[in-house]
Amino acid sequence: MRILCVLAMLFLYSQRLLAESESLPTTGLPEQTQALKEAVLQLNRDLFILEEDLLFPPNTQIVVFVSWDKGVFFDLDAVELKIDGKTVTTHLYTEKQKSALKRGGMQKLYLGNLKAGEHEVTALLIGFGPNGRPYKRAASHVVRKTTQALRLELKIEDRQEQQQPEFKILEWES
Amino acid sequence: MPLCITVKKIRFWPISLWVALLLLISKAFVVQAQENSQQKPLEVVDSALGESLYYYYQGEDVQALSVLLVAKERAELQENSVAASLLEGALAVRFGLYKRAHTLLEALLEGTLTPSMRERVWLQLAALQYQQGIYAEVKQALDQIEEPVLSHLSVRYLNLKALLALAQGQTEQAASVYKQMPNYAPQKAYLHHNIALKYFTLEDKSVFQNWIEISSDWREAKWKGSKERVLLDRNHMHEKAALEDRVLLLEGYSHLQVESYESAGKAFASVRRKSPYLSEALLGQTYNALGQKQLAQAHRALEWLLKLEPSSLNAQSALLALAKKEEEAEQYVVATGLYKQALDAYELAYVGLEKGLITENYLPSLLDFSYDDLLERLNEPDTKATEPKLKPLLLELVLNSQFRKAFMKVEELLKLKVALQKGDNTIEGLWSAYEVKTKLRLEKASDLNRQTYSERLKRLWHSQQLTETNIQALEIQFGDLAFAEEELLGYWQQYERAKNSLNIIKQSNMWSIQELAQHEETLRLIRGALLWNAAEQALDRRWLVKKNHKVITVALKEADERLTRIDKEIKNTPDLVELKQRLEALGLRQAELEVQISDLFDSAYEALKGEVKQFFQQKMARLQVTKQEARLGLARIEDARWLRGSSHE
Repeated sequence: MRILCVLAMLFLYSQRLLAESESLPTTGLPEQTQALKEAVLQLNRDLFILEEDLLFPPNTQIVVFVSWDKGVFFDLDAVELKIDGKTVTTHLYTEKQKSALKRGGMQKLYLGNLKAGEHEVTALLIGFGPNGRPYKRAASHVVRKTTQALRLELKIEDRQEQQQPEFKILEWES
Repeated sequence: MPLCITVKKIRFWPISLWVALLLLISKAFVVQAQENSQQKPLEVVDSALGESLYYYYQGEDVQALSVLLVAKERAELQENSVAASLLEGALAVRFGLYKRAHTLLEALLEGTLTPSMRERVWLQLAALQYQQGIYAEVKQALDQIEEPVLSHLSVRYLNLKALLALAQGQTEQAASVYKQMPNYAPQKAYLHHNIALKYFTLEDKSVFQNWIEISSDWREAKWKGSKERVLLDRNHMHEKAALEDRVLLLEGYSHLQVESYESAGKAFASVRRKSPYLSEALLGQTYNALGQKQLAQAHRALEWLLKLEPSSLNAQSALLALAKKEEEAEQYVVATGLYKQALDAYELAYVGLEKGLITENYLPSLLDFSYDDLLERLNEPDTKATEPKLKPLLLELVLNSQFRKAFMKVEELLKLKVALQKGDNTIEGLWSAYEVKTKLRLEKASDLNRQTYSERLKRLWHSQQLTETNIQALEIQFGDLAFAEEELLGYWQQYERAKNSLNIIKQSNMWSIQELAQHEETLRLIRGALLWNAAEQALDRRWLVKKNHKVITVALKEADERLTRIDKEIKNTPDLVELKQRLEALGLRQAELEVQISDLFDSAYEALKGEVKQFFQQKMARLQVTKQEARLGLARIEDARWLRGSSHE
């Protein structure tokens, strides 16, 4: 009987201790890891800004984005970007990248520098058109580079009436 | 985790201005305007949001977060601030920045949101709380969502609802939610396996078999030309193969459960060599071989596993399983009566001693359980002439490692025998008999606790494989372990307090020596169990630390590459002094971070190594105690023989 009583006492006491220990704040490795991740992100952010300020200042900066809406009549495979007839970048798309574009993502296709004045920007789009046939089209646009950063959007859309894809280069307001 | 946003850019202001004007008129108008805007896709005006989404959908979380942070720093998220905050919150959840995610999402809920946006925020908050294991709050958050408007939102909603049901042990409910999910949803496959796994851990064999059959159908039929296959092929090639391996694993474990070793072996062997689940398959092969008592095969699978992932949880689990199996084998043999052989061996040994056939040097060898030592002694000239029958029998016993267990059993039985033969009704005599029973009972209870704990760890391990990303799962497990750590700490305190209480009672002379001894024994066993738990946890945390280390190292590597690029450029333009100073400062910060990470993980490794070392030291100490007990037991056997001899007389 005495054993039982003392065991019961021990049990009750242990429950209280357990409850106390549960209320302790969680500290340790997970928090430290979170702090480190935050620090790495800050570092990355500063480096992004530094890189852009240094290598692509606004007075010469040109950025070209790619966006893709729906994609029923065109399956994008690759893109080639030319400025004043000179190829500045090419990109071959993976399934993952295409899916990201279709779901609303915008790809920063090109970030570079350009002198002030008039320039011709041409995008050559390669892929598969309606009925899965190979498809190759170009879209051109003449832009005027000022001291402001120049932002362009290469937009791929479906033209429902003609059952064909449409490619546009749009200029964004800075 | 898809975030439902589609791009439809507008570059003209009038619509936005009108909306702004309406906002000023009345709050009711605001809500109405938002209700209307909910009907059309969200307009992405800020390029940074679109760019971040591009990385987000590809699972490049660091890049996506960095783009958003840069845009925030430059105040470039004026038009899509709410959507950007939601995206940042989602990314923070995925990247394991719980504090940031919580702050962002709470702040969003405090503001004015359209109903659909509010539901998205609640959903994200529910996901965050699920990862943190705060299930009551997950339910509360999900209750805020009435009927998700868009299909992929509803898929996420259902998925979370089912996961919550699983976490709360409501498997039937999870299964019913599963049925509501559309077949095209990639989450459905994961959920299927989570539910199957739950039935597996619940040992509900018939239901589990049913789920596995469905799973096999899905694998065989649906991946051969159906719509699902197209979706999986295009977007989830890697997941498809990985899921196939998961199915094989589950099949293997399912067969293992019903001791269908051949089929289990085939399933485990079919897992691809490049599979992320290879180590689990090897663990399965180890279990399978152990189930068939093929120790050599188990060792082969274990060796491969150790080469593949020397410090992984799977490798350690296999090691433990092997060790446990060896122990079980001992117990099995003891239970089936081999201890009698040991007793006979001892009888023979004594006969040998009495007759002068064995020298006294022989006995310590037996107690040290060293085969090599024994062999050496047996080959000594003075033992060459021992009884021919005795030598192989003793050798066999030592070889099979039966001796220690057998001897302990003999000792316990003899205690009882002695008490009975003496007709001892004194307290001491009865206590002696009682002590044997209590000890056996406590050992059994302790083993049971260990098994339960080990099962819980296994379940955690499996559940982390099947959540949406490894990072999420990692953080879930991390949270659980942090809690478990606290729990463990609580038990330690409990143990220490109990020990103190016992000392006080001891001093107060309330109990007899026997009663005190019993409680001290109980405490010793509790302590043993705690050490076991600590070691298992330590091994588990080691794996987690490694994973987290990798995530941070990858991010830092990217930063380093960026730094190198800029540094190269700066060398060519020496007038940019200020930028160079910033670069140097960032370089220093990066170095500091590296040191910090290195210190953190080194200390974590050291701590873990310490814990494991401590565990094994304790185990060694216990072995020493066992040896002493064995020596004592030897003396008691002699007493027993003497008593038996004298009673015959």
